[in-house]
Amino acid sequence: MTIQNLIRRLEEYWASQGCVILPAHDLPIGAATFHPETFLRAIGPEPWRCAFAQPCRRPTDGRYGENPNRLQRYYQFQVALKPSPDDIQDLYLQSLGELGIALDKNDVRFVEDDWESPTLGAWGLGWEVQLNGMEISQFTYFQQAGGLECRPTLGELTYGIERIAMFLQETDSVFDLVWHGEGAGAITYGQLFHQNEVEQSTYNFEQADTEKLSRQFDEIEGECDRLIDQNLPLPAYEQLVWCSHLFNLLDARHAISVTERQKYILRIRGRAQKIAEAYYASREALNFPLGAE
Amino acid sequence: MTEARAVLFELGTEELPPRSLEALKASLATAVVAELENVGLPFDQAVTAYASSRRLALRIPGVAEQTAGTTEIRKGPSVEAAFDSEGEPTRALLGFAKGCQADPEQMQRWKAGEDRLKTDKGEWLKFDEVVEPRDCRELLPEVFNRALAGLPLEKRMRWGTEETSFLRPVRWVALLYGGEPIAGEIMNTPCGAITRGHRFLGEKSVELEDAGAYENALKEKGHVLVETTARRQQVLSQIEEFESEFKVEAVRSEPLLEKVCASAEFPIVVAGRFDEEFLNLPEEVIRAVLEDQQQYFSTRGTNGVLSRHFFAVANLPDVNGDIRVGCERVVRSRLQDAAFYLERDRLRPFDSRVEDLGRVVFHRKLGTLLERVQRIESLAEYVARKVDADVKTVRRAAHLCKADLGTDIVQSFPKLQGLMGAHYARIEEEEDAVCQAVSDHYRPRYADDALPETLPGQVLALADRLDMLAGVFSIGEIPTGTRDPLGVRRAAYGVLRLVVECGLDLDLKDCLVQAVNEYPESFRDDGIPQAVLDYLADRMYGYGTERGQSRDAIEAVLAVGSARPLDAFGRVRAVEGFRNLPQAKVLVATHKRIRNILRETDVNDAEINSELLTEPAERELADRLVAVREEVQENCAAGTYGEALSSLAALAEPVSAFFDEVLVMAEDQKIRHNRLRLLRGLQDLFLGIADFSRLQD
Repeated sequence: MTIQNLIRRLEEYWASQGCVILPAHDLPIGAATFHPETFLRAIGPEPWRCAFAQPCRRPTDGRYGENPNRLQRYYQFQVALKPSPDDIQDLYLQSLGELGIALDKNDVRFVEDDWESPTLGAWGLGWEVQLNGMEISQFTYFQQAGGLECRPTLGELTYGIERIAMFLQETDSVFDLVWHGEGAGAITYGQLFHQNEVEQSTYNFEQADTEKLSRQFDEIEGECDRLIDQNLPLPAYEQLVWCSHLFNLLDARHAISVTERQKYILRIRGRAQKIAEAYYASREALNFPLGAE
Repeated sequence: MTEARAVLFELGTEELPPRSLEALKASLATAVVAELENVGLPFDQAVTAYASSRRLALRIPGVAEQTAGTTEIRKGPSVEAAFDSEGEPTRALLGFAKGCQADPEQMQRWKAGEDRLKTDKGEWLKFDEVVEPRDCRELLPEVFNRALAGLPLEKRMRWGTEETSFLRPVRWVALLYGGEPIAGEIMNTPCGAITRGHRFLGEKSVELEDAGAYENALKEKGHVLVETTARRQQVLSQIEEFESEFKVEAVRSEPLLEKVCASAEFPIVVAGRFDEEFLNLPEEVIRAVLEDQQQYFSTRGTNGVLSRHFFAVANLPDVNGDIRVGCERVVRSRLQDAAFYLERDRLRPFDSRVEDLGRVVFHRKLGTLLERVQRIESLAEYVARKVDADVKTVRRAAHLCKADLGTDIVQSFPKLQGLMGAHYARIEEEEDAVCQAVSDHYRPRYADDALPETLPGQVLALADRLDMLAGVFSIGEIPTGTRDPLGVRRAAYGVLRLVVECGLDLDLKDCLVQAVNEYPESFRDDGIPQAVLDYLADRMYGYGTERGQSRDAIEAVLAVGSARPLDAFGRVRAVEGFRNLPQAKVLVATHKRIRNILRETDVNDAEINSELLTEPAERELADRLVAVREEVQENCAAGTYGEALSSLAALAEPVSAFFDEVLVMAEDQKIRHNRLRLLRGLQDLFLGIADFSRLQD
């Protein structure tokens, strides 16, 4: 199954489960959790179901395209279900079946994994899902987001698209994955993104100007504060997402010592909390348009 | 009443964390037993508890159908207090009546002088409270709900719109009384007679016909081995088969075995292997990948060397080999990662990493890791000189001991700290003794971990911990309760083990003074060494009692000095031996008596004037004391406290005679003081070893 078909199959499946299928977020983010349709929707009483494929950036994981399993940009397929339904595990397993994974011949396991995002002030309990020992998904019951209790609980399913595709296509290198077509007309992951991995790794590890990045961080942080004061949680959140990405870039350049690291995290988290509160208040003022569970 | 039957309770959940599963099972059983006793429902104590990744269950045999109904007599106010002068009920009585929910007829009976409790001290009103028998069908859901609510869980979570919380979401509950399903709700989930089978094998839902048939129904229809022992047996026997097939031996780790048995409901061992080339990686790295990251068993060949084979435990049979292939692929990619880190770490000289530590904060108030390393270097040298360790080796090892913390391999496998430092140091041809000390200096990492094998390793391990203790006490962040992020308790315990078990006869007071002096001026406080020493002394009780020594013997020894733990424990051993001597009782009593006498006086020396010795018994004691003193002091100096105490025991007889025949508090001040000096001489001899007056009988 090509990657584009894999994504389409997941979209169809989750659409049939009542999910709104959305485009990816148009800002660089480290995980689909940062997509406002996950993070902000986890806040407050409104029910919500959505699914989307999201490119994610983790500058530190870059390997100049030389490692068959590691990328500085990769794809997640994200599903958010709020409140988390009673049969959420079965729904997830069924989706694997839809992709052609034989559940009675492979070892699919829910392996304890408590999730925490220190920058978002969010945590949850759940598992990483392993397929024959390989992590293919994260499965989390959100307990808190932006420091606010999640009531009802949002269930987050995050598929690692490349991992699942590597299993289905039986390849040992991510760059050999077929994204589109077959035979002579096949377009591979490598053809699409290898150059990007090389160049972006070079940028992340060698070229990124740390002084400029940290100045940008300060500036955007100020903008975020201003927007929070203006009671504009959605634009403020975009600034926060930028800050988070800049922080990841600085981290990849080893430009941040351990103590500074903690300070940066606290700077982002403090704002995530304010935004969460402002967002909740704004939805409440609108009388929770999507309803209240 | 019908005969007692077994109750079967099963809480069906999503996958539970395997770490605490066995402990959780045990605490559930304890909690339920307590609740059953609490409600007075008779049952048989032979409870069986079950746990697997998706369920917790209990079978309680011999549960009575009902509680025994009883009448409980409640005592009310006295007759005088119950009625006022007009014979009307007082507030006290009205309150009592309300509390008993007494009806008007009851009030009439009280007024009429009925329902009284007569004793020879007076007369009170009473109320016969009838406690109706309660049916187990009604009680059991309450019992389980309360037991579950009170379980000590590490972390609780909510799910969906539920307000209940548990370790993971609860999805079904089975509750049977013999063959009869019990209705009700437990954790907001309706009870039934249906359990669920294995996720991917057997029947999805299995109807339980009888509480007694639980394990079998799950096994036959549900493909679930609900008994831990059954899963364990299955894993072990399959491991053994593969061991003989591949002529290897699995590295059997009990925590790993427990973990894999707690995470599969029908465990199947899958044997995989990795490429030969990876055997060039350090063994610890391969084992960390297999055992820690993947929860697979690593194996050794007949020659004891790590082999390419590994054993994974799946949750179902590997019918066409896909599981094996998948496991091998993951292991390969993880080993590739590790090889990549090892290669990248070597791009620069290992010792050049020491200066990087200047950018890593050890503790907000205690500075960088580089500063810590510099302190350890100097302190380790000090300790090395005291115990005749090779100073050059110790200094070099101290310099390198934290350099691996910045390497990629240790960042990915924190557990390998020290080991990887030694690995890189060896590659760069540092001396063996240096590498060994770098590798060993984190030992003991936990209470019963092995100690460093070589003297330089022991010295470095000690300096590492003393530096930390001195720092933590300087900034007043002494651990309280269970919060101990820096592992201060563990460090203190490590210090004791290093000093006592490696035979390092050190005066820790001196070492701690040195440790504090390594810190900048602003940290130094004269009280710190003693504060750390007191903290260590407190730990000596735990350390000693765990090794079979008694508290009072430790207390007696510590009372006369604790700065040299090796010496202190030598004295404790001697005191324990001494207690068994027939003369011990007399001498302990004597010491108590002497202490009490001397406490009242201001005689501070032990210079006896032999001309003032008038009575034969005191002369005898003085002579014997002189004879014994030298022996005792020599033995004390040599650390042979057992022999010192046998010599002291010889004084039992003359001491008894002295107290029988001589009046210490003589009229004549000179004679009195002379006798007190004699006693002080005796006490000094005792106090060289322990304060025997603190021994309990």
